[in-house]
Amino acid sequence: MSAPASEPATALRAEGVRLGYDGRTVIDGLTLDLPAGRVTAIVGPNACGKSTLLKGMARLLPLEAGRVLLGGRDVAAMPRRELARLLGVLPQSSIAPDGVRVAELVARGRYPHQGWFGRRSSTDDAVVARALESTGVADLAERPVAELSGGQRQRVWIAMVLAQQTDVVLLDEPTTYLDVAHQVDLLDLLATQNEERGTTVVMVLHELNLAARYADHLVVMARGSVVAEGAPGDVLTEDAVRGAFGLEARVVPDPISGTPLVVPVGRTRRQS
Amino acid sequence: MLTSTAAGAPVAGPPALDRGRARLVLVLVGAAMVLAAVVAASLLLGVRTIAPGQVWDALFHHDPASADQSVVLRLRVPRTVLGLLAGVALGCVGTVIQGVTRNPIADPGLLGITPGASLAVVVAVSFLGVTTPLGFVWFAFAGAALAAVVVFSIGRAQPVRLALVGAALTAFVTPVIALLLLRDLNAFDQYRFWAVGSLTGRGLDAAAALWPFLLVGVVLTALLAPRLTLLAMGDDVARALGQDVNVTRGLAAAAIVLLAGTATALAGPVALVGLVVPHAARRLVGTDYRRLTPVAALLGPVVLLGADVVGRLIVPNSELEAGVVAAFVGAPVLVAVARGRSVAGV
Repeated sequence: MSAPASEPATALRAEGVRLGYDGRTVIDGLTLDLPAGRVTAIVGPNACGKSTLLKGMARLLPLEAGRVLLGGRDVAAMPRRELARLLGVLPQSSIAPDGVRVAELVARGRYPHQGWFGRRSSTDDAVVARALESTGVADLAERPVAELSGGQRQRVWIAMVLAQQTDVVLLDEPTTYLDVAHQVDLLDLLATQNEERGTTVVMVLHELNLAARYADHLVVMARGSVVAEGAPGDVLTEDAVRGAFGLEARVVPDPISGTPLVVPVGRTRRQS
Repeated sequence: MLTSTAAGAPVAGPPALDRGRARLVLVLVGAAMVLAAVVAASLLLGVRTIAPGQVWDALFHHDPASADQSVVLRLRVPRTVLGLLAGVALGCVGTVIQGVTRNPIADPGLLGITPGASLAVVVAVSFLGVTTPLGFVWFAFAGAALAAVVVFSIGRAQPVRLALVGAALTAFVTPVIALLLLRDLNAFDQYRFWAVGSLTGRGLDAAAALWPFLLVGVVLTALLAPRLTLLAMGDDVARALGQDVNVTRGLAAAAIVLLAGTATALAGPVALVGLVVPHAARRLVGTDYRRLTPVAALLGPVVLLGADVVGRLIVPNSELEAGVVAAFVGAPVLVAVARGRSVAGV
């Protein structure tokens, strides 16, 4: 990682944001800076507002108050197309239309760069080919997305977001429904993208240990607020896990990466 | 498989994309040829046997004294024009409705738009004494537009809600129509002819009055095609790719009003064409609306006009209305589509 000596610049900043659905407020007065060129993981218990925050920052959900700044510019004031050229998002609610082929789906990531009718240029073709290759789905280009396994499908969606060629990529639980091997595989892919292209990666994750291993910057949320943030080694303590998740746990060093490894205590099945 | 970039050669598109384009051209040419054949059949065939030479003369060297030529000009040309226009409208509107609602069984009937048009016609006949086809046209149009406005403003563009509101409106309007017709036999006689989906009886006047609405509707459909392609992946993905989803829904609502209004005004409440045509087009060229809409616009008149021609030949010395035949043809096609792989392919 080409980490500069000084504090990294802020890629995305939420400033006093309030977010909610149909009058029910989920997040109120939250301020958060996400460092540029780094991998940030947002973790927290179910319904803590982490996905809501991600949606708000990506302008998928309108802010009720506050603002979101992308490279210092107010996101709400930018034309959507321009925003889509700077900020890529993979929401959880993506639908692969029946019969759509892998290459076709990935090519749709080029939409914000194209004219109104979406005519393909040779640049588009090159970018799509590269996105297919870097996500390891080039061999599947001709296959219908519906026929792929969960792991392959998730790679295809990420390829679509990469084809968007944005400096910042937000992903909402990209490893959900994947087995552990595919989770590691996918996170390695995102880490590589971050290292090789300097892409700012921000993802909501459930798996604490993988979040601690892959994130440069870890954000812990609970009840609509950020309760801790910083380097995973500093943030993910036994107290933090108890505070955010209400879970008694031991935190030991991960034998592979040296990052915190959270081992839950639980009420049963302890070694006598 | 993929084009190698290592050699530094110019990158060709992924084959899946290029093959899709070649297929589109093939399908468009094929559909245009079939449409031309159906138009020719519509001019040549009918209850009255007329020699092809007479049809040709009627169109290009008209002799006012010839009864045959008069039949061609007064009856066959108008119904062919009507079938073409209404067919294009139905093909486009079905595609737009299925796209914007992400619902594979959506059509103007499901959204309550056709029933709305029917109610307006019944009101016009039984309370306002409207009897001319051209009078029906405007009421049908207004009824369709009003129903669409109601459904879209209550349904607030959420796919499931739209379908529910449409179903509720249909359920409400249908018995009201029945009630009004049962009270007034004269109105019933007028209405049933309109309601059966016939291409006759509404002359070129109707076409002349309505073609600008159709034109705007078709232009809107073309503008919507790339947007619907993204919307198919979900609202959030469409937004993430830079689309203002509300603008898409607004444009779609306008297109649906114009197209469904035109189709219903011209041909009556024709069932199934708007539903079946997009599925057939999807089978032929895939799910991208930029490819789907032009194919659907060609297949719409093929099905409607084709049904009209078949209806003229199937009963000796008489005719079956296009709407009836379309329903007979459309239902099996829909079953075939449902049994096939791409059933929910919206």
